[in-house]
Amino acid sequence: MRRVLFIIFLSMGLAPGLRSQSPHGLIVKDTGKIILADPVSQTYMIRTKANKIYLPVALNKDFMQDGLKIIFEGNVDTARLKRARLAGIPITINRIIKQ
Amino acid sequence: MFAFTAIAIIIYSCHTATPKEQALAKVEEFNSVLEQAAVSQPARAADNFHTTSAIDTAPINSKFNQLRMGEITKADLQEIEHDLTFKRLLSLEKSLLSRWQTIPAFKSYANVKLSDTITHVIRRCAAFDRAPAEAERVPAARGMRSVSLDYYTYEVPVAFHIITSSKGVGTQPGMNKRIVDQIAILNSNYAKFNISFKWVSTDVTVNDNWFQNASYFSDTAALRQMTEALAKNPEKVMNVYTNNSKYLGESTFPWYPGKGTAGDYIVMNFNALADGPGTLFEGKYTQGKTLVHEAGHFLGLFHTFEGGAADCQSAQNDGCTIGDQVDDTPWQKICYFDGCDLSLKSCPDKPGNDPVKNFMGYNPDPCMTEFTNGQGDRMKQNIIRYRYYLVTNPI
Repeated sequence: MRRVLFIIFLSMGLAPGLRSQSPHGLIVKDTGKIILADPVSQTYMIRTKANKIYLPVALNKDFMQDGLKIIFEGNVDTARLKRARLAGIPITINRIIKQ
Repeated sequence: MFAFTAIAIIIYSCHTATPKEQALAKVEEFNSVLEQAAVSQPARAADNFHTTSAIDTAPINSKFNQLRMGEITKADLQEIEHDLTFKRLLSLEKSLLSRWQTIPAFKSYANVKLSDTITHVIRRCAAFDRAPAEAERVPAARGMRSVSLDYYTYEVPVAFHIITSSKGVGTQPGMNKRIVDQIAILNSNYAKFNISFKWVSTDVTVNDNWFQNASYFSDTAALRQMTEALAKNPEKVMNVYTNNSKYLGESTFPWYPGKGTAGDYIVMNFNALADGPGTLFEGKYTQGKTLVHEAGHFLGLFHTFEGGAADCQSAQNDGCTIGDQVDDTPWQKICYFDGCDLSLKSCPDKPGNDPVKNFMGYNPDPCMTEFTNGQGDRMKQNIIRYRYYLVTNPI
């Protein structure tokens, strides 16, 4: 199944872990694990295999599962976050699937 | 022969004017230029305002009444403002120079303690001393510089606004103690720069929208509503709002146009205050360092890894050439969210290892323990330039 998903990503032009610049920042495609970052506020984060941390904006409820392995694609843009302290890079998810 | 040459060089060096003498000479020189400019002002004003009569013979109020405001350009107004600031700074500078005894920044930069006699000799011989025209003095109008940064003491009054959801999330018993502890943490980390923080008030507001969304990076309308409704004396006070922000914290920079208004603020996640729960982001943000970081932004500091990329974790980030614009902060190419590895060196061609312990990075709270002396200078320069109201011993 993972190989199939990998091939799908390749067919879209990018392999997982790769990035490309877009007018709205950087497009990130990667694999990772959903982690419950704050049970009080029900905030989730994505930790990738390379230990990068992303904070999905408006994550679909179907993916709010601690430990869920995923493949995702989204836009990030921290260039405008010059005056913020972050716990991970905010990412607007474009596509996400369970592994 | 060699000894003779050395003595001649030393004698020559010791005749070099001290920084104080150089500064006084500059003040006198600018005073003189200013006086000359004042004499020629009528002619210049006449040109600017398209009048033909000689302005210097008319009372100033009468002349002013003849002016039509539409004719006064923005550039003219800025020039007038600069002149006023400039004159005030000249008198300030004279007054302060009369008390100039030591250059504490020499001590702080060199990190060595020398006897007063030796220090005097070194300064007199113009060695090791930082000239007043450099970091010792603060920027002011028209590139002029003024007083010793270490002369001033600074106090930041802080008002806390606790935003909660209608279910009561956002505040817990013990919140007051967390705020007291938070102020203590701020004070312990800023004390070496003569910057202190003083609690002035805490209020609690129930608002689900503000609790979830008020942030410049998610819902600016909610942010504006919240700050306009709750800001307390923003012209004098640092207003801190705690809500459920996905970002640990955000702050305005001191040079933003909204400075001194409700639009001057810090928003932070309520659980990132001091003594936060071990459940937030794997327990990485329990020691109150988020507000230390945000106060750094409020006083004009950039991130140590500032590099312009959309993802500061990526190799595209250019922290090795942009950085935080402070000389003694080591370079750091990318941001780190985990660990405290002191051996990291992401800019191999630059001196020093990555400043992972610096408050202006993204490392977890237990790792963050220091500011550089240059960051202290930058904050003090920004206070004097943009937030002079925080100075407790103004001249």
